[in-house]
Amino acid sequence: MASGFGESTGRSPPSPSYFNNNNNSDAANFECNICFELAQDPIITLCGHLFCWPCLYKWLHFHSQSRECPVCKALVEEEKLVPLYGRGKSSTDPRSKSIPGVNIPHRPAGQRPETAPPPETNHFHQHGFGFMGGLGGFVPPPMATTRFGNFALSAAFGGFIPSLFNFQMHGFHDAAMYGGGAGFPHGFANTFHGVHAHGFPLRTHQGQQDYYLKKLLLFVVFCVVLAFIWQ
Amino acid sequence: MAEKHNIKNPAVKRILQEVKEMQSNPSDDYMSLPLEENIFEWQFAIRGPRDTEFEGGIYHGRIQLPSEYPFKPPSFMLLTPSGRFETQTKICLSISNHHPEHWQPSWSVRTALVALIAFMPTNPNGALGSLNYKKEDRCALATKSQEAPPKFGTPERQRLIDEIHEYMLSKSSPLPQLAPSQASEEQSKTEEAKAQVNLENPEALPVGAEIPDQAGDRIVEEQELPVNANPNPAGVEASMESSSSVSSNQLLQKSDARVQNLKPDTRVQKPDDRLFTLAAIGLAIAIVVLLLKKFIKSTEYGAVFMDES
Repeated sequence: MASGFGESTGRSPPSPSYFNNNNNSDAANFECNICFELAQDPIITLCGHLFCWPCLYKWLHFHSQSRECPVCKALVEEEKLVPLYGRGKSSTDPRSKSIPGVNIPHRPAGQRPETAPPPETNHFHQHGFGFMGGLGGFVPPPMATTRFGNFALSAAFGGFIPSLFNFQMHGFHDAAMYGGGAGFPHGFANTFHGVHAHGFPLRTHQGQQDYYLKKLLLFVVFCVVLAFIWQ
Repeated sequence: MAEKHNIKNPAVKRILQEVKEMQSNPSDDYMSLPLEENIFEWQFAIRGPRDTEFEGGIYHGRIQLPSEYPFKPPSFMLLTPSGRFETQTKICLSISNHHPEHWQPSWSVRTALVALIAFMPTNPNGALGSLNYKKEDRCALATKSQEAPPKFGTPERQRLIDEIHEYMLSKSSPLPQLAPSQASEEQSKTEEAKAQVNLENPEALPVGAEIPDQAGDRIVEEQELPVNANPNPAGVEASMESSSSVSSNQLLQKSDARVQNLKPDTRVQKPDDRLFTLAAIGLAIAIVVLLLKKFIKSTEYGAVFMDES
């Protein structure tokens, strides 16, 4: 046994400079499955296997008859290959020069999705605005009481307008302004449209508040309808 | 050794990597080394698989790697008679150059030797370079193969063959082989061999662990499934299962979202939400009060109207 080991170690070992990549066993995780070296111009298939782009290109274009993955024989489509961009500099591949007459094209580019949406800080800012609008809702009662003393129908309408306006302020940020008595029905239609437009976003972002707002909104609409009946 | 070869050749670099890997992770079941003057010529030896008629055999062979390696498959030739493969003839396997369409660049000499060991007990089915001896003859050849390595090639190659043979012998038993001249010695040898087999059984696990998982498993699979197209449907089914599980997960997430929407009470209220809700309720109460006042006013107006009429 010792003699066997001695003889095997007695052979001239290869120069370590050629195997620097393998000094660290973790490097095997990033080695090409074809040339067993650290992947140069690394590219990864949809089945998850890593190759050098020159090695994979040679296999797909010159040797493979069915364009299969060199490891698992899955079908390889060049438009679905994903390159790996590390911190290293992009250098020309010396191996492509070693084969005369073979021009290996550039590695396929990555498929970048859209930019991610900004964080939700803006939402909290809008929420604060709504809160201030809500505070405004407490102002109308005294004014309405004062106006009701005049016993005028137009004064009664004036009493309702601030309440609806403030409600829209805290409920929907882009509340639309509407005119006086003649335009009141149109304003009502606008209110409904605003509700419909903003219902879904509110539901997705504010679960419980949305639920309460829905019930409260139905109640307010009922009150407004009663006001119209007694007009 | 490396200085003598063209290091810019990708095939040479790949072969040097394999040599280093073989030397850093040796196995008890096979041994392989390239020639000094030609790195594309290898000598190998494999041990017969356990619990088969080839057990105890040391089978030498020769591997020729092509210049386009690893994009083209190598060729294999057995030198020791085994009763399963012919000698001095290139054998026909899915890993050899008889079937270049089945070759995978990720396979290596190591995986090829593992596959060759796995192919030993299989039915040859009339493949090129295959033999179908009886079990007794195979056992006799296995025992005989330990005595001396085959004679082949140049003196340097023969020296390499002898070196590999000594390595395999050193791995099989700690004692040198004795001449089987006496029956009692043969019996004791048999008992020792059985004991060694029992001792070697635990070693089978780490040896198996050394095999590279994907390539090794795939090559062994091919031995079980002669038709190469068969593994592909299994892969397709696996991908379909994974996609269906992903979609089902998405459905679960959607249903969870709906359930959360239907149960607003379970959510923790934020202070802003609470104040906002209270403000809305206050606004509703104010509207109700206004309506009541308007109702009272209309009643008084009706009374005035009746007085006038």
